[in-house]
Amino acid sequence: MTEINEKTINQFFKAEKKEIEDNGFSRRVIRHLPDRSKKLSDIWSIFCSAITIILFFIFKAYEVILNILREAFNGAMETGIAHLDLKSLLIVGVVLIGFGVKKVCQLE
Amino acid sequence: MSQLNDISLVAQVVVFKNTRAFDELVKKYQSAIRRFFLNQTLGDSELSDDLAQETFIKAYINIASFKNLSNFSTWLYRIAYNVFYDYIRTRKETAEIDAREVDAIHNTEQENVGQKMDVYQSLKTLKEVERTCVTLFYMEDVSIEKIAGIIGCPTGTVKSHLSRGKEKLAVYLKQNGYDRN
Repeated sequence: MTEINEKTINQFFKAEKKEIEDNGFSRRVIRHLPDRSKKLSDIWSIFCSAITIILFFIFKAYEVILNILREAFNGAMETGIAHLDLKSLLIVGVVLIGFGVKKVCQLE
Repeated sequence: MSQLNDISLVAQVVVFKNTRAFDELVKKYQSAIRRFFLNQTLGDSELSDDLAQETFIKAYINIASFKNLSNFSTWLYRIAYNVFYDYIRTRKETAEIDAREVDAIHNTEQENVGQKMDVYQSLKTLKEVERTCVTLFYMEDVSIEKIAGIIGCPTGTVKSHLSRGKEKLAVYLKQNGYDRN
């Protein structure tokens, strides 16, 4: 490697060194930062939940649900009350409460 | 002064998660990092921008681990180097191709980089690690000690890579009439 070659290589690379314009690159990076994405996703979730709750009351969805429950209860009372097994009902209740407690403990 | 400013910006990002401070760091170093990837990928601007974006996101996630033992730019180059070699490794694993073929795949020059063709053609003659050492040393003015820190090897190895790279470049430049300048 001669002195001239070293100098030539230096000049060759220096001549090719150009500044690259940002052209929206930094904006794109900031948009993709994880915390920011999480914040945007949280805001979106809250917004969607709020819309759902408002629509729920505007269209009186609670009345539909109440009617369904009432009909189901009445149906069960009319047909199933005679064959109701209190022991089985108690076991099912205990199991469901057990599952509920376990789930709550896991959440904590 | 510049380093103090960097430290202040980094502190704002670490403590307050200040994205504006990080935006300033991105604006300051985007040119150098994108140019680094352009040289490594031999002018593939789309791939370079994707890898540069990944570099900055990784820097943001791990910014608390920046211990100020080196310049912020050196730390950033180290992440960029790891991002590029992770990319190459994935390509090699998925395509089961050798280094020459990887070079060929990277060599997807864009029409808008015509004026840079010579530099990419010359870099094509080098191995990836030689390319990294040569471009950091000659184009970005990074010292041999810092290059050693970036690529994680002794300074002697960097000197060997530089020496081999220079020999190959000298041949290319002679063949293309640069010795007459």
